[in-house]
Amino acid sequence: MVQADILSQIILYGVLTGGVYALVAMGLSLIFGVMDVVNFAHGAYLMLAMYSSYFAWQILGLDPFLSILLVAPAFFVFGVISERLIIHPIIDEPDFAQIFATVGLIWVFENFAHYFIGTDPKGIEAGYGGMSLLGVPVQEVRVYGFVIALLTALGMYLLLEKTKIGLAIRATAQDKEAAELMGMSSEVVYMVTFGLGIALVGVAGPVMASIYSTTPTVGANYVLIAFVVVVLGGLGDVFGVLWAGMLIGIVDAAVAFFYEPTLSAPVYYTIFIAVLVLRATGHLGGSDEGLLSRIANIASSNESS
Amino acid sequence: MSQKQQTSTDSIAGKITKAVGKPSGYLSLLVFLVALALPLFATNYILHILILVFITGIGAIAWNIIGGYGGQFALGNAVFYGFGAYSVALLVNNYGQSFFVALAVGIILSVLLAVLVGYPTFTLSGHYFALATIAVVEGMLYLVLFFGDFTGGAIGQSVTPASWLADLVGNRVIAFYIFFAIFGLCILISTWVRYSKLGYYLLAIREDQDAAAALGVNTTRYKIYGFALSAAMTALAGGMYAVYGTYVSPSGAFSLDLSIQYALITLIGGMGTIIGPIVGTLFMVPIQQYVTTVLGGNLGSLAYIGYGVILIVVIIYAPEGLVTRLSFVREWIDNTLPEVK
Repeated sequence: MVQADILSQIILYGVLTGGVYALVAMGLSLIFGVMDVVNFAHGAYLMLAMYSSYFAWQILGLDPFLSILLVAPAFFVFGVISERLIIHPIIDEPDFAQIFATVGLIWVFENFAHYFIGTDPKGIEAGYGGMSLLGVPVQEVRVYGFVIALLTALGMYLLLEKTKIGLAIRATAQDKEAAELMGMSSEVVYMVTFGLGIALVGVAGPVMASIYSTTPTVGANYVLIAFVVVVLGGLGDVFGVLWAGMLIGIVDAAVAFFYEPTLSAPVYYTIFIAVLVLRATGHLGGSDEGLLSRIANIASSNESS
Repeated sequence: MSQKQQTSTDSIAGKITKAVGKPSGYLSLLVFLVALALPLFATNYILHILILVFITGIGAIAWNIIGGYGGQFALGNAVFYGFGAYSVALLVNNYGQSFFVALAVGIILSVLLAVLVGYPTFTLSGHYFALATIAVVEGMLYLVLFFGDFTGGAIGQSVTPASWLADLVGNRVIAFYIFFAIFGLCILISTWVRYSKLGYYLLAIREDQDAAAALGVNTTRYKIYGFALSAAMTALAGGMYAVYGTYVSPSGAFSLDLSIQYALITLIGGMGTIIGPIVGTLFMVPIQQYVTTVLGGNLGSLAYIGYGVILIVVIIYAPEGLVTRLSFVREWIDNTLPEVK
């Protein structure tokens, strides 16, 4: 059966790519969900993380996956500093202030890379080859990237659910004032949240850099996909983001295979707007819940009735 | 400016003489006259920059109607610019239609798209509306690329308008007056909207949508009216640019950067004020032209780093825009210059 072969290939390829999309989206989801800040510069941070990993490989000879251990902590600090300097002063300002401040950051980061590194695409050749997974030939880096995405999701879940700081983050996300009354400083929580969100970019960057080549504007290609994934998956919902990433990855791969790669963006943007609108009009529930958990809720409520 | 209004009643004529008598009135008139006389002494390059100011300014004025007056943070307005530009390019080039028919089609399509997009998305709030409009412009960009056989694909296509029109816009001085007139018309429309029922409703929606709805304003309908008007004006800018620039490309027309630029210009000038987008454009477009065409390359990117830093600092310390910041200049003028009666 050739058809089944192709189908399994598309799904496998989509799931692997989607896992990486989810990895990119996790930090965005965390920051958006907890702080209600739309970080348009997410892609620009990603670009810097990709370059960091590239230079770690080129100068130190570090394997891109190992460089995560270096890049992620560095980006945590970077995130905390960014929060103090740029996000904190405008946290209570209207939406447009956050949008423009982060657009300003994009300009600074992208042109910084343009000026100091140049526009030639930089690719890492760390000696990874191809492998066969379930009888389908795939690149090794994609498989490892997917595994890292799963581990990161698990780690984030444990951090948010099982630790004190995770509890503080969730409490602040739910009700900032109440959390403050309980003695949690929202300033500290926001600092840590933004730091964690950017640290997640620091995990995603090396993975992305091992798969794709890096240019100053590479982030713009992925930030909108990340937004789609976040909205589908639910704000701050780690596993929701993972599922949504895979869903988008499969849509991406299927459209690219059956029609043309250029058409996959319009397709998932349409899904994106449809989900936003259905949610706003109350057809999918009104909260910031993810799509899949909501469908599960609807299904279980149908069963019980 | 005044001929149009003198045809109506005397009381309006009286109001105009009174308005012109004020320092801000006759100074504006002076600026207007100097602008009219500019082609006498400005070089072609400066006229070209000013034409770009007018084209971008129309888009910024249009954005201000929905984003400034209405407070709806649309970040997809370039899609209407693209519709205008591509309608002119395709209909004139491939279907032999006249420029005016093509422009009208572009404007009508944009209004339809605005209604189609606005009707569902105006139920969204804040961030989500902005994100949905971004998805519209980005999705449309990929559609233009996908239907490359029809649209010319990523390379875009050149526009060859009828020879009389090509002659008109090819002459920088005539083109200057044409674009200046359209720019002025758009300022008049924006001023009219500000003091019309639509404008007051939009302001009410911006301040407190729930309160406006409670007082009987059909908020979705008026937001769609504002969005449709904004779309029509932006499409006009796009269509005019297509004949002036004689070239359209998907990355230039359906561009998120352009959408952001409209909002940014208005923000720098002063959101929700009539003059904000005008001041913003006069300030920003020449700087951008200088940075990209004169500095260019590496120096250009260095300049953009500074630009980004300034933007962030402005957002943090002066989010109310130049017009409000510089209001003391206006007060000083009003207080020191005599009133003419």
